[in-house]
Amino acid sequence: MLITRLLKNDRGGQVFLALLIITLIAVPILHALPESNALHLSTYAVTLLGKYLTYALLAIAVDLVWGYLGILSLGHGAFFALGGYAMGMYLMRQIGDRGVYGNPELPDFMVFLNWQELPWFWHGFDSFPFALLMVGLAPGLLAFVFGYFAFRSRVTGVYLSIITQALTYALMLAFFRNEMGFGGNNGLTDFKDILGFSLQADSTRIGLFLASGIALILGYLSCRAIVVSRLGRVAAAIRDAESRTRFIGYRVEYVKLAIFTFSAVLAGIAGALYVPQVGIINPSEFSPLNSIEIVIWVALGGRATLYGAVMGALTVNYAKSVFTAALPDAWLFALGAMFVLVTLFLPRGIAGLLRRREKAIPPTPPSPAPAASEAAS
Amino acid sequence: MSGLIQRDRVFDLLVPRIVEDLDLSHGTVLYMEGVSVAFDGFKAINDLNFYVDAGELRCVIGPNGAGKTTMMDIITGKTRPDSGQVWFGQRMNLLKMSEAEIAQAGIGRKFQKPTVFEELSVFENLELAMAGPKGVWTTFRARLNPEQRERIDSVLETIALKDESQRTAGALSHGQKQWLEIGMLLMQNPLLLLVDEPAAGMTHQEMDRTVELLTGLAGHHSVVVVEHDMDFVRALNSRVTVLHQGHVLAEGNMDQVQADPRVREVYLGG
Repeated sequence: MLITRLLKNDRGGQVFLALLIITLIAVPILHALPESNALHLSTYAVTLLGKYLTYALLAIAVDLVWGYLGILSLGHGAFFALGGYAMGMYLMRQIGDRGVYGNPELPDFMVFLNWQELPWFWHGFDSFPFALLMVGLAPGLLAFVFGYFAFRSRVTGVYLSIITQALTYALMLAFFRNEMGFGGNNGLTDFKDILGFSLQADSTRIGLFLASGIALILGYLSCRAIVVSRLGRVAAAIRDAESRTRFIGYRVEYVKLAIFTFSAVLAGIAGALYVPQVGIINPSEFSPLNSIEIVIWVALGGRATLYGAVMGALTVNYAKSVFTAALPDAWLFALGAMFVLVTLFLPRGIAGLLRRREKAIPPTPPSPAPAASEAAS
Repeated sequence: MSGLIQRDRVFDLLVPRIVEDLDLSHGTVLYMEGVSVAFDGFKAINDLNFYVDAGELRCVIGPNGAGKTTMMDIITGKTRPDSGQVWFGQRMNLLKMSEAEIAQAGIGRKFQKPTVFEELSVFENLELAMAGPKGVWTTFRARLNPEQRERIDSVLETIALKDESQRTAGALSHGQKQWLEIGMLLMQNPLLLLVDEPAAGMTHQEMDRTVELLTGLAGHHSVVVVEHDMDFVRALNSRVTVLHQGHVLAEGNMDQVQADPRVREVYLGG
């Protein structure tokens, strides 16, 4: 079966997916308990967990290109934000005439700017399927065009990282401008409902949480599908010896382009799930710092394991929630300290720590699959 | 290895891929005629004439700066000569082809420093090197069929790494990496193998093993070996070409070459 094939030799992934599925089942039940019960989970907590899950999906997307393909992208926050903006535009259109100005045609910020009609690129966002398409298409297209030029010119290593950083910075500046038509500094907010369900309703919160969890599962499995395929081995070959891979006949730039674009789409989906849960999207999501933070999640969790990226994202963001509530000034120091300590003592991240324990038992060599299962798969 | 000594058997993998344009009707795989190339006035290759027969094992020796590596560079398209002609078979003009096209046409080269994919297993290294379509989608969908699996297995046997097939390539010894790289070349089914200093840094046992491997490949592939180590060249027991100042000084078997007074003068030093 497909899933067994994808998770073969991936103990960490099996454990992670099992825990995730348990969480997805347990959270709605715990939420349904009466508030007097000690195990009751507040709506706030459910939304917070849902937000973490979207971060985890984003971390997987970064791990796919960094851990397996060797492209250190410092601009994945841009793809996340673009997906978020696409969803935000749909949510804005759903407000209808319930805005502060009560204009049925235009979102509040456009009325405020004295715009007479909807800009052309806002058309179509009334439709949910169209918005979903854009959630994938906007980041995917940007990654494709950007990657096409960068990889064709064989820009690699730190130079590529710097360009991705510049990309997200440029987008941040652009989205800050009111003339862009994306709400400028304030971004898009004040959302009312999604697909007719009120965003304030508990059931919608639970629904968004479940959607995030399912997206994470599917994202994880699709990344595994790439990693365990021959394409995944070619990616590792590119990471370790790029020119040699070219020499044996692979078009390195196309492999990079395909995986980079796929990763950007995943990041966009994560952003689209993030926005309805936090209720706002603004240009600060494009901030270079955000993109760097994602890389820290992955480094902390452990590169090239996928589930490590999830652990990193959850650990850092949980710590962030705790610290910014208790000691807001100390948070950045704590983040820096965590990063330094992990780099010094756990070069393979948290996942490396778990793996070392596994390695103590000599691994049984994977026996070549019999021909019959090959044909069946 | 026993499989290779049994000369009545021919493995599929050892039958070179049929190249449509390649015409071997005269029994010669490679022609280099009147080739010269100069770098900043220094004539690295000077009116070189060099022929390799189909299925032949040939050693090229010569002192440092004799032009051995430059010669390899010209054949693989890395360096373009100032004058002269280079033909692969009767009809393929190598001077008009790119490096990738030359590799596709069936000339494989092993560089001095072994470069294998260290994080991948030996088996996976061979899998990636296998000849065949290499587009992104086909690579994503690719599954090994039993035939291909067999092919990899027989190459593993040829390069004596069958027991190491699941180990990561980075964990191999230096000599084993050299063999793995030869194996990766074999997976591409080349007609002509150019092997640059295969014995460098090898132990004696590894060297013996390499001699066996290379002599076993000859007959099915043409193999050109550039080497410094005289014991190794003697053990290969093949025709030897001596290069000196970018020109062929002498050609023949090892004894003939060693007896040549000009060769003794410039290289072997008596």
